[in-house]
Amino acid sequence: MINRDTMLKQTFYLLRKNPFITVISVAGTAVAIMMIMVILMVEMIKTIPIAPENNRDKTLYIRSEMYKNKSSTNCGLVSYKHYNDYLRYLENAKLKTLLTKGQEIIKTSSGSKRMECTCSYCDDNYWKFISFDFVEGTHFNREDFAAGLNKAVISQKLSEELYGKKSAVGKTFILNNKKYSVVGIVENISPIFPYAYSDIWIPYTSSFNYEKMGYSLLLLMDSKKDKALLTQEVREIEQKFTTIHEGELLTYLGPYSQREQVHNKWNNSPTKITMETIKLSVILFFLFLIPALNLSGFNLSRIKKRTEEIGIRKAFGATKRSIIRQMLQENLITTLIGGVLGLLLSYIALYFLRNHLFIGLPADAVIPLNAIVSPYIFLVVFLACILLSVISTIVPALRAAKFTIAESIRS
Amino acid sequence: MSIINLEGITKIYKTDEVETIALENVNLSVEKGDFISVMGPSGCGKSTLLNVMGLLDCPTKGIVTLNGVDTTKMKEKETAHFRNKTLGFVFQSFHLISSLNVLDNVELPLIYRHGVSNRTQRAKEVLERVGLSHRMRHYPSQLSGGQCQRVAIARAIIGNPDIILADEPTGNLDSKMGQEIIDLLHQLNQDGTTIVMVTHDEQIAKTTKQVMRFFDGRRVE
Repeated sequence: MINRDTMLKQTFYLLRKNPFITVISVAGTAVAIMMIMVILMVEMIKTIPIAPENNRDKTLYIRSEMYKNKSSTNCGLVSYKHYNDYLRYLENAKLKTLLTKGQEIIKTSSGSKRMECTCSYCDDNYWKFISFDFVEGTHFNREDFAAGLNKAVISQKLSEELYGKKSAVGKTFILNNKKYSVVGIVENISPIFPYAYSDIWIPYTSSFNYEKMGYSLLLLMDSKKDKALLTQEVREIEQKFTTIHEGELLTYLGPYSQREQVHNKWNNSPTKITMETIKLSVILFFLFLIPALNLSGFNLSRIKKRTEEIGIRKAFGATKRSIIRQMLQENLITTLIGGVLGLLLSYIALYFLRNHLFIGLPADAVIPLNAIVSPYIFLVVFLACILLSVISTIVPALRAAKFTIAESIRS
Repeated sequence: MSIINLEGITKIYKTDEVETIALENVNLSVEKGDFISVMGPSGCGKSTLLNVMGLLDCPTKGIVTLNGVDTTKMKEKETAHFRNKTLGFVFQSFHLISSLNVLDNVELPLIYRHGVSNRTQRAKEVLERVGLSHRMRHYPSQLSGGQCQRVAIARAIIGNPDIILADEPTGNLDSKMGQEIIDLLHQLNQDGTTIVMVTHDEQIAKTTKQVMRFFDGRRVE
């Protein structure tokens, strides 16, 4: 087998020797990887488990219900009443949390500051679903929640806006005409995490009309296999409801996995997720194919220039297979250089285009580093490079290996 | 026992319009330890003969037996391994790989051979033998023609082949350098390597043990 050092030396020699082709090849690869990675990273940021939403892969979501009786049909968030009567008894869920959000006006107790904030109404289980980093204090507990105490966790950003650099724990603010006491401060959360992001988190039981509010229900499973069991349980609840309430119908949309709920939105069509996957695959296929064909052309001319070398190698014992392997390995090095460059470009593109790529993302929102610098991303880039390298090299390499030795040497 | 045996070798090159007979019913055998010169005018089929003998090209008809092995029925992989172990090549235009340095060029046959661990050491030894150990980190473009041919000889002998096929090895060299190369080939022959060499130079041919002459694809002497 060819010595790796020799192969690397030769590859870099050839890259230096043909600067124009090298620049075009590396740039072509970089742009292709950048386009692919931007699309994949947007998809991954929305779907894979990333802190603080670490449990995405084991969480199921029920975000809406449809209630129908003889005279009307209502669609909306999960009602507290139905949750309390039925869903809270789901046996296959390891943990359940009920959550809703709203834009609220808050003001400091003195009335000197007033601002609009995103407020999450949640229960004590919520803190087990999402992994927050507390800068100070802690979250409200089960007793606080059960008693409906006016305790709040706020973000670091809000803490600084309301109270400056001083410790905010123990301080109060007014929300919905109630005085809330700050018990904990968490590090700022990016809005790209829809279930974690907020400025304020309070027990929903502290709200006077919490029984009339609509919620999203998050269910934590022991393993992904429990999804079928939980789905079955939800369907049974729907049947039970109809049996008890004759002439009435209750339908839940879900439970959905993270990926399903990202793509299904408010639609209960089972084909939607398949269509989304097909759409994404087709886009990625063309993003791969077009640069791969271009690079294939470059590789063909590059390999043609090396016909004599291929002939010499074969004369001294190289097989067709070893020639193809060498071409693939050499090209992989170029592609990996382009891949690293492409990944850096995709970070830049993601930074500047984030408001277009993530609909509803505030202008000043940042994408946290842990969402884009992860083993998943590096693995995807590496696999993309291998795929691009194979597609763009295999045809030229096969053609080069096909020449007879005498022909190659004569060339 | 003959180390090379060609039986009824015919090689025809075909294009859409023309059919060229490069070799026509050639029969020859070379004994182990021979040093043979192949002579003849340009286009008489000398290089084609060497290509067929070295398994670099397939005959249209006939059987090539090397070291007692009928190579006609070998598969591509077997042929590659057989060529690697049995044959060494020296070409008129050296055919060194320009992107590899001298040491890597010389190591080339061994990288395609399984179980060779001391490749670099062996490459250094053969470079020493051809008097080029001081040039091992140089690239072919940094060497003279004579030095390039000595690197090519080092590459041909590193795998201890039984046969060396040399196609006009002095064709691109001046007479002094040419003589050095011929001396080197004679040394190898004295050490037991069988050599078949194509040449146009009668003086050089006279120094070999046997001369075969070709004309219009046929052996005439």
